[in-house]
Amino acid sequence: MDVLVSIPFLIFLPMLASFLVMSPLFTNNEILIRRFTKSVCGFQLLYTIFLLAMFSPSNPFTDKISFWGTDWIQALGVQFVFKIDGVGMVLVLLTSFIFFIASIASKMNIRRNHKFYYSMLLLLMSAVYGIFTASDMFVFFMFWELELIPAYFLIGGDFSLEENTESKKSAVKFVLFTFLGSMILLLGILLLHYYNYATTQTFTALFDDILINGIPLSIKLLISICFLIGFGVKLPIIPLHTWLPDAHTNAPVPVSMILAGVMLKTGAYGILRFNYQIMQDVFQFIAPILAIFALINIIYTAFVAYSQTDIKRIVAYSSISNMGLILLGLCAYNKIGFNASVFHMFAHGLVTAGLFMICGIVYMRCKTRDINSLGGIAVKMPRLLGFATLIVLASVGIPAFAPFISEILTIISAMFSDLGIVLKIVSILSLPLLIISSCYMLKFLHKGFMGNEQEKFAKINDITVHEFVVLGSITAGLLIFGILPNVLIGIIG
Amino acid sequence: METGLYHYLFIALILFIIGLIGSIMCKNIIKVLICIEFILTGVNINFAVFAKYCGGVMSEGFVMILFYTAIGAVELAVALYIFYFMFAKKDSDNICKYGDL
Amino acid sequence: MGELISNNIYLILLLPLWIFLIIMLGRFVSVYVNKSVIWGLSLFSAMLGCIASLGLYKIFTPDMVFENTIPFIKINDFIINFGIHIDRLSLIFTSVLFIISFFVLLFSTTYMKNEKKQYRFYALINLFNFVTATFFFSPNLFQAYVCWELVGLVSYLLIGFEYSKSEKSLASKKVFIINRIGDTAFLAGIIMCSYLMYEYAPSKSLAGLELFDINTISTLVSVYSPHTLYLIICGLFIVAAMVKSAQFPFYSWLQDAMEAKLPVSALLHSSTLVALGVYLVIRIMPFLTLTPSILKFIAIIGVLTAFVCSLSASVQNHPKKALAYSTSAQFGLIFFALGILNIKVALILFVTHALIKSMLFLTLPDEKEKWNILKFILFAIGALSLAGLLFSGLCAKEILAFSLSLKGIFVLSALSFITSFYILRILIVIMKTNGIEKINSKKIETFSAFSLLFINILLYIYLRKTNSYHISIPYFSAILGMLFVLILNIRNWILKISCPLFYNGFYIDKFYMTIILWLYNKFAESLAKFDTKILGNYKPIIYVSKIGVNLIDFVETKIMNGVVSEITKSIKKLSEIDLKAQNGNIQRYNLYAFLIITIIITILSIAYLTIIINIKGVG
Repeated sequence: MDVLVSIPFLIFLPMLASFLVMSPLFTNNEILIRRFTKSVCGFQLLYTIFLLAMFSPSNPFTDKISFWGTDWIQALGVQFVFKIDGVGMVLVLLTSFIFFIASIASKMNIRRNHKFYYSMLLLLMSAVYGIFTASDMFVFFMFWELELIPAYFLIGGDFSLEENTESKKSAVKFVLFTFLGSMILLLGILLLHYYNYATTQTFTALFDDILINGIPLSIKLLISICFLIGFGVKLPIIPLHTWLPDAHTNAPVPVSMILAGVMLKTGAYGILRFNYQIMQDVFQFIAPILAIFALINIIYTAFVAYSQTDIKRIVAYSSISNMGLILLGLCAYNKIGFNASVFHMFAHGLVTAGLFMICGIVYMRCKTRDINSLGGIAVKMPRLLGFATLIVLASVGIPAFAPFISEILTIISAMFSDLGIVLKIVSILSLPLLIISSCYMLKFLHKGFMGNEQEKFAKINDITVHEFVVLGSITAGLLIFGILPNVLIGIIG
Repeated sequence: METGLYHYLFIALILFIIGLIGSIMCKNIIKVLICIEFILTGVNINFAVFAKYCGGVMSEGFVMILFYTAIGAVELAVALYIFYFMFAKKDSDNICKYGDL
Repeated sequence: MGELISNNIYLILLLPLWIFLIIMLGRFVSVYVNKSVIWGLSLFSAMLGCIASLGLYKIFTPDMVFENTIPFIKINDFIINFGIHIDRLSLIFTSVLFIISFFVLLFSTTYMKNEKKQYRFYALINLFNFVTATFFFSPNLFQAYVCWELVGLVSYLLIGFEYSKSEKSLASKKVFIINRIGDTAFLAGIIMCSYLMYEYAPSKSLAGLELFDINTISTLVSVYSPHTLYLIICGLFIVAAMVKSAQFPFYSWLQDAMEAKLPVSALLHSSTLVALGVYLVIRIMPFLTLTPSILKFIAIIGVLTAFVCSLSASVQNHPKKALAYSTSAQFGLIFFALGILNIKVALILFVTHALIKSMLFLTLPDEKEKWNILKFILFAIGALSLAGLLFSGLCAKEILAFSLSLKGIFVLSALSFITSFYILRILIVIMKTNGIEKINSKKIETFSAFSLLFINILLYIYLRKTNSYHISIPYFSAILGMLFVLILNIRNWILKISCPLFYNGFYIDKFYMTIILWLYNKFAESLAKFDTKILGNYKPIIYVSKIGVNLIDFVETKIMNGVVSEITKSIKKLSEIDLKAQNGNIQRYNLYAFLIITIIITILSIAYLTIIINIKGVG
């Protein structure tokens, strides 16, 4: 009974399901595969809610898997430990929700190679769960590397009816960047592990047990920078962001939703765990510089997004912009900033999933993603316009939606931080985000949807029930957490 | 100056060197064979000298002279026999052509 | 009845929100949510709000405050509260809101009859009621900011109500973005204010700190002497108020807001939405009174706006645009009154203007429609009232003039002249372009306009009873203006007045649309090019990696393989030499054998001799 209420069940069930789907024993019938995956994802969502109900921030779940009575690699002090605390709970909830929604949204967007696609989806799900719950550096790294493979296949595979060579190029770019980053990350992890041994004479790789007091400052700085580069490829810190627009634009819609909604957050989560919680004093030292990078993220990509013509690229750049806000919340190094950052991870995950879904619906109906040729489709699809307006306004930062709260709290936390005047200046300078983000988002909404009716779009249909469920649940989630933010803040702890 | 050990050795050496250089440089078979006899003669004289000056009553050197002379004769006979057939085959008395050996 | 109201104030406040939700979501659920239900519910909520605010106004004395908050965000010590804070000031504003909202809703039941999807319209009007009432009842700056942004949102949704016409949707986008500038200024002010409080707090912790409460802010600041940061904060709040109330450099959005339908213009953009700025300035008064220069700034901006907008209004040919400029101008006058710290006059001006302007909007004809004569008469009375010649407009102007010095009265008379000029000019322009007819009156529309006029007259009587004033110069200058218009009409020069500077609103709009937008576009494009061509340019990386690949290739072929091949070559050469030695030349063999044997024997003998000598020597 005990194994059923445990974290490894959460992580390894999708992995088993993935292998099951991929095996030749499983049926090739598209509908059965899809329903099976949807039920696995739905079960995961229910299971996460069940874990949430039994969760309390002062008593986090911890699970340890031991292989035949020993730890994993005993000579190095590596143990196979998982732990879900407040931050992890929020992110696991986000993951379950986004994957469930993406599996519902996969109905219309995936036309070929279903078996492969759904098995890779489940494998990615299990890898992301592992990242968010790992409590040991090497276990974290193992799952971090594990998510590369399904992501590569999901982005670059042939899942749509027409030929798509751009997606293969983007997938290769993605893998190269992430792989280089994770090599540097591995260097940092190994350095930290070694120096931990050198100063405390014990081998340990657990997050809770690593002590950095005795390590010389230059080494600590080097380790921190290694971590930052490794995670900065994922949470895109300019200038390591160039893989992102191509990967998000050329991937199929559910994959974009997962990529932007969940996988970018793994980068932010990594910075939170490694830099914010482990390398504390160095983080306080480099936080002002990181805040300037966050500011560049926020403002620069908002300008770039304004002049794009591909709707998915606009949404991709808006993701980078919001991740800059998350980074700024972490740089403030106080309780408000921490909470604001995790809140924004959740809220932005929902928003960006909704935005990609809308782009996908438009592309499916109108066969074009160019914003100059779209326009006037709102007359035929008023329900889509309603959802699009709500989600676009949520992304801009209108109150009563969740991202507003996190944006405000981020800016307040940067103002209240004790780390010097740079953060206060950054906080003031990031206020034009409100104006700039509304510029490009409203351009997206108005040019893409509103306006006079065009003849070429005379035959398109309004949204179907599947899409309605997806968009409706996203909007409901945003509204609920916008009106009652204390629920989420209570979970974060 | 009295003739001593070194003078005889010198003669033996000269004979040996003449025979050596001749056997290497000459192209004619007969000249080569005769130069080999020169080598043999030089060695014989060497043995005789050492037997006289450094040995006792029953010195072994003289025995070696006898042996060597006999060996030289036999070897000359065999060599002539072989060279006779080679001459018949190759129709030349230039030793460079006898590479088939 | 007082207890009844104060116990149920939450329900009364939340009722419009419930109606919004019912309309938006209930249509899917039940067929009973049809037009009459929607109308009935909306009117009922507006009426209830009206009665509640007027009733509470009677009960509340000037000092009484009712406040109740619940925590909205709570992170350890950092708490942001939401709640309501009722006092007389907020009740004045909410009663104006609900009265005008009620009559506008009544008007739109017949005006919007032919519109498809009118349920969305009523839902949005209800949401607007809720959000504005919450703004007026907000206890701290944070909730005020939330409602400020939400009001901008509702205005955006209402202006872009017909999204299938591109000019309307573009206008709504423009309005939203300009309002966002004000929101940014407001937020910047709030954040710097809270930072100031945090820094000057007795203990440097967030515990027990009402971070956004205005009273706490002002008490703290009055204890510590103000400095430049404090001036900046005041300036930011003033800018926010200026954007919302369409004052000097930011009045162009009101022109685009006139793309909305008539009831929307009447409710939002003439009386209630633009009043948010005034309310904010009044609430921040304790803050602003600490620096007199800020107050002077407000007054100057007010007068400047009044002149600029009045002049612009006097050459417009489209009635809605002229009325929009007129709104800005009148609010400029209100800001002027605030700047000279005469809050009572400002409030009187605001209330009278709200009633008159909404009535003026409600009696306007459509584009090609002939003007109904009842509406014409109502418009004429409203126009005279706005000019300061009749009813409450007269009262308001005169009460203002009563408290001014000679210079002020001069300025006020000039303004009155221009005001009466433009309002009567526009009356005649509409008469000329649309024509007047006597039949086809829509009863409910005229009834709602008439009731607004009636309330206007009631207000006039109330003001007359409670204040003393006397008729002075502005009255006469207004009459002069009217006469001027009539003279121009007789000479048929009315429609020919044009001045490009005034017509384009002093080119503020054109400046924004061309220069700023062009700069923004260029900047965004250059950044995008930078991003794709320079940051995303993989050519250097590919070039560097090609060099690396070539280097490795070189090392691989030349050095590693090269060593091996050199070895094999030399061995081959050796074998060739060796092969040459096997040429069958006996003499050669002879020579080699002799040489080598000689060498070996020499070496051996030397070794033997040295060993013997050494042994001999040792021994």
